Amino acid sequence: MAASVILLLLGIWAVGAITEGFKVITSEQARRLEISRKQPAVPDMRLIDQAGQMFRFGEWVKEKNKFLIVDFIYTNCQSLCRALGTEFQQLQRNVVERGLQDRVQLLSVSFDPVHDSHAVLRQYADRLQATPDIWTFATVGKASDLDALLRTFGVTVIPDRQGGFQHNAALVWVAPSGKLVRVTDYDASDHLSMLDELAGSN
Amino acid sequence: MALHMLLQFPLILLAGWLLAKGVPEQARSMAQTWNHAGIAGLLVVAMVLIFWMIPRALDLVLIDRTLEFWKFLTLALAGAALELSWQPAGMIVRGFFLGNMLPMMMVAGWLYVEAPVRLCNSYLSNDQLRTGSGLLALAIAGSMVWLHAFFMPSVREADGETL
Repeated sequence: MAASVILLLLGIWAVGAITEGFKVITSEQARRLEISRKQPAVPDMRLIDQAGQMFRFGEWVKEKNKFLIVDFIYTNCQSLCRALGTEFQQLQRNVVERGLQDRVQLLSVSFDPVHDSHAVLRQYADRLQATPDIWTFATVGKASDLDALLRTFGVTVIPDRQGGFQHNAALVWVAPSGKLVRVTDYDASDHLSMLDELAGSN
Repeated sequence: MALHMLLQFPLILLAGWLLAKGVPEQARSMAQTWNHAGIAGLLVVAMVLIFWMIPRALDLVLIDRTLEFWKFLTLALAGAALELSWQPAGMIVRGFFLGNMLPMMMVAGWLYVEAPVRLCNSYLSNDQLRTGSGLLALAIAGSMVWLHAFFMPSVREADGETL
């Protein structure tokens, strides 16, 4: 009897630990909870934008002094990244409509630096009609930096054995201070209200 | 994912089971003093299996070495606990155990099959589908074997079971 009770408590403790106190069952939910709790800083590594310009990520965010919305993509992607692209197009439109150009910056980071050179990224940006002042495309300067970048943002990328990748897709919100503050679904309906909030806090 | 959950897990359980077969009679009866009717042992099995059906555990164990150590330890322990508890547990305790574990496996399998998103970031979506179908098939097969054993007295007698 006593043994069973102790074992039961141990089991409940273990399940509670892996689910962050019965809040999450997947690692995707866990990474979102962790980012909003710990608010890690953007890693200060070199990125290349679609114009071929090198910049340091951390410095860049602070210089811009804007709210940054980041997604992770690769240009050969046929599924999720398209949805992400559409969402970013809408966000770009809404940013212009609300006159938030000086307060909000969009950033799409490619995790396929081998294929997505800055020229490829520029073509991709043109296809999506991205306005360079609002929407930046970039990839890592050194392929070896990719792991650290993806780890900070909690993005897992795995080859799908058909030449593409499967990856978890979400929008990560970075405060002007360079801290990751929030993760939202690419099809979440609250992006506009978040933009309104930003516009209202002028 | 399918190989991880449906092949490696059962193999580690089996290893634990086979190890427990070697436990001498004396130690076995000592274990029975805290394992009345196999209840504590089957509780261990249930909790270990519940834990390893949580998608986050499957994801995290791929990158966390400490957790991987615990995976081998707990699953082997569960296999051993199953061996040490199955005979002492009567039909009622076994029924309670299976009546909880099999539906839970079905729910987990159904979740893996039906989820509109990937539940594990480290596994492909078709792998998730395979795992879900496998869990469902395993749970259904388990239920049929159990029902067969329950309603066929000849099988029960052959096992030398008592109610």
